[in-house]
Amino acid sequence: MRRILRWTIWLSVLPLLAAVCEPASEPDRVVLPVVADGRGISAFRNAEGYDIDLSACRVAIRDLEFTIAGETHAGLGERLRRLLVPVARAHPGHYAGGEVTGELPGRFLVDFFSGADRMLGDGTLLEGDYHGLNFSFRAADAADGIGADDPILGHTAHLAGIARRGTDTWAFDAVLDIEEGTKMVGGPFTLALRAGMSPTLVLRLLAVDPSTEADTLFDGIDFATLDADGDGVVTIRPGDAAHNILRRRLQVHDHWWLDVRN
Amino acid sequence: MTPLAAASILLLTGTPSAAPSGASGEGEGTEVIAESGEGREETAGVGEDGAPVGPVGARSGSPAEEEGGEGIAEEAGEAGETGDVGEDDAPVGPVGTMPEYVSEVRAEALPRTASSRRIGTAELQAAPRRATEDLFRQVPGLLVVQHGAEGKGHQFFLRGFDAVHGMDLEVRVAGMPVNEVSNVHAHGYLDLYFVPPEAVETLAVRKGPFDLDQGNFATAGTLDLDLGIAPAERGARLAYEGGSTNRHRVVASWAPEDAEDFVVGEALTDDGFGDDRWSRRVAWLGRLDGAHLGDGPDVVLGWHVGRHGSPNAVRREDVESGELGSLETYTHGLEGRSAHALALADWRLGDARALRLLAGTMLRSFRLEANYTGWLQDADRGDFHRQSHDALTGFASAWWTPRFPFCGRSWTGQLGLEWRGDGFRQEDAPFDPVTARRFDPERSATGQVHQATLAAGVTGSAASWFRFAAGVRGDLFGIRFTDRVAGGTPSDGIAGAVSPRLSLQFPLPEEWTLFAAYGRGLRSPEARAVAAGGQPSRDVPLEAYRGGPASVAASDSVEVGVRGEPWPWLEVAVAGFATFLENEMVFDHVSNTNVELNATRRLGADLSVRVRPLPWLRVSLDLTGGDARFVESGNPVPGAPRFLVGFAIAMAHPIGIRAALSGYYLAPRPLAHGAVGTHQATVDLTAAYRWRWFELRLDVENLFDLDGPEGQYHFASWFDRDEPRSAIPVTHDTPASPLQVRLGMVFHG
Repeated sequence: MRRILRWTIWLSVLPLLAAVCEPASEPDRVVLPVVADGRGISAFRNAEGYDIDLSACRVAIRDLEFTIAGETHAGLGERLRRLLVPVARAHPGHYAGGEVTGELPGRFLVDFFSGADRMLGDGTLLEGDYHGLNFSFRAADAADGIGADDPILGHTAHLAGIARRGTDTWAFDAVLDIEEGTKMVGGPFTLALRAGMSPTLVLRLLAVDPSTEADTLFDGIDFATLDADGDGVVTIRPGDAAHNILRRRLQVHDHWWLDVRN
Repeated sequence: MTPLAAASILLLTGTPSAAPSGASGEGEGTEVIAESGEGREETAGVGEDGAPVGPVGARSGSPAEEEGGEGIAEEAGEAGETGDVGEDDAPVGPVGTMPEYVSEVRAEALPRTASSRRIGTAELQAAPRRATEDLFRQVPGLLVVQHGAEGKGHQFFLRGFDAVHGMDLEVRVAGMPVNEVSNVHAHGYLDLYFVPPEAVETLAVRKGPFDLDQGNFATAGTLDLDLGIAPAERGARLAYEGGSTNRHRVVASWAPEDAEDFVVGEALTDDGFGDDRWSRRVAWLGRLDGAHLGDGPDVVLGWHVGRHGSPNAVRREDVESGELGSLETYTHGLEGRSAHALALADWRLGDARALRLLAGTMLRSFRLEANYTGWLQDADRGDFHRQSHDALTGFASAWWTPRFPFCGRSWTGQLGLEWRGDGFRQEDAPFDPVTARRFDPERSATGQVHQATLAAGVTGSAASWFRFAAGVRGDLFGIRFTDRVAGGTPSDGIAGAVSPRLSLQFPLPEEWTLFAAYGRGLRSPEARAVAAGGQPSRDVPLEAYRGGPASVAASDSVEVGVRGEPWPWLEVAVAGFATFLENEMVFDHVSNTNVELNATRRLGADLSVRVRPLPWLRVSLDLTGGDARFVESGNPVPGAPRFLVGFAIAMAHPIGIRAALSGYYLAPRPLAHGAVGTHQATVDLTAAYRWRWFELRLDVENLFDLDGPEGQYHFASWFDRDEPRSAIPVTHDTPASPLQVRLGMVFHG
């Protein structure tokens, strides 16, 4: 019995020594370039059967945040992870899932039809397993370098393009307002980031939700109905019913992806 | 004779007066240990033959102790032959000039696990304490953190659990559970400021959920506070304590020497050791012995009001750069308030007092202003929040522990019924600390939580070579929650759990006992969880995001250990433990969803060594190591200590001097997001000298003025608005007490 006691003491002390020697540390920080995909958005068909071909899409956003999932149950799937809003009050000791451990602060006017990747800046991320992207919407202003006659000035988003159904065609132009500071939470972003890695993070707007729902940005928009005068031109502006539909769709996280390009 | 089997506890009371009724013997200058027999005399009051035995000493005690006190029948009754003493029998007294010793013998239940302990007055007094929760620092393996000011609840870490403010640590006061269900600040919140530390006679520690009476929040363990005045402190007593932080504390107590009545009152004012760490409180607690009411119940009444400052945690980088002192805070003027009113009645009925009825109620008020994140969430108004929680708790229990013969052996049954009902009103609202303007609340709710428990078990010795306790308890929670922010429609939910418990004890040669135990612990869901699913976004199909309905979190724990006294002056206990949580549902306050956490497992071991080289000298060393991880990812559970070492060198010399050096060391532990904390250590000194009716006491916290935090966290904040906002988490600390000196004078009447 005393031999057992002796071994027990030794086995207890040795790990203690190992633990004692571990220095206090902050997790490693990794700086990664973040770009916006300016190669355009592929044509798609909305739930009303219109084939939509966007030619312009600009959105004013600010303050990108990159989140880890925390230790939520894997069986709940990615969507649960994305929902966990990373704004826990951080009371010491409180549990909070979906925590922000990376960021790219700043104001951006993202043009998805600029023709090439457009650098947004260098994001700083702690090592970790990332699962989500957040940012806030804002209104574009002169500091974005846009002209006084630019339709997005004072607004959040500008989308334009052509919608077709059968032999009918409509040219549309939409200007959207989203309340300053409204957050898009949980855009898909999967990366097991470790020190030494140097991928590029690519922000994309997908018109079609690639998940099983296959929802599109323009679901609920019936161009024929909106074209009351039958001139083949549809204009969507704040206050319109179609504006509110589009605005809500644009806030859905399923359409905002952060791809990892090595 | 296995000393642990009889598990007698000898208390040298240090009072020349007669021992309380039921004390079994006395002598002059000698320790006389009476036969302890079966049962815990002072509680179950059952002698070896089942006859009632007069009450002695501490009153309360868990039903598990009461029904499990018979020890190994074949070996009972040998304590007097060996002269062995129990685990907390430090020669606490006598203090002052003591011509006589009076021995008070308490039959202690045979421990169910190697790690369970009963900490007596001697150990509780062997370290500085500001309030009752500081007594928990004597519990091996329990890390106690005060991240606010004295007056706010503490944070607890035990067996790999970050119990936050009590979520995984059940605490009962005189048998009544006092964890606050669905407190707005934290589920299971513990605030024991209604109990002056002088009113705590013993502290029973049960790590893990292995006993049948361990209920809600006992996933990591249970602490039972037995109320009473230590024998040496009985009579009239007036104490004043002055401290280096402009601390002034007055305590008056009265307790007759021949009964169990007592009343203790305290008044405190303290500026605290740093910014916004001031504290004020008034409290009193009293017990009326049921003997005055014929065979009536013991009645406990208490009341407390307090206020305290509310400091922030400080970014470590700011302290290291010299921008801020570790005792400073970013914001000023925030405060908290706390109040309790308690009434409790405790009946013990039947010839062998085998039936214990308990009924109690507590009225509670809680206010807290806090800002932990600066201006991170709200760059204009700041993240100032004011939480309020008013609650009324009712509790009733009946535990019947009959003894009966079966197959030629004596068995003890255990049948328990419990009910607890909590009704509360709570709010969490942003506010402006300058104008005191309160903005629209983010949370405003009322709720009711009812818990009903049925438990049944049996304790016995089926063979001479082992003893067991086995049983099962069922808990049912009925919850109604009304979110007034979301429209005021009540949400209802029911959750339940069945929890088996089993413990085995095997006597071994050479005064050792082998223990093995399995138990399932439970933690109720937050009341708010039944309302989870309030629409977080108009675009989100809600069902896809739910973690499921509110449910009870259940932990499965095992412990195997040995305990013994290889020499009369040495006691050793070693225990290995493992806890698994497969399905832990937590309510995420931000997304308003129930979130199912990944499975976790916690492995570890406790080593406890107690050496008594001289009758008046005790040295103890407690070492706890653990590894807590999420099973799937392998990531460590943030905050869970890896190694915690506690020590104490205590003396209580017959000439009247009492002194102790105690402290702890905490090895670096994992924090959130992969960060690693730093070392924590402190050494405290306490000394006292009593001459007849006068006693001087000196308490020194952090004797060597070691720098270091007490609380360490990893989260994001933005306090310096001259710097760019950053949402990336960094390490924040709350400071440990720097060197502090307190001098006390006690007048004994």
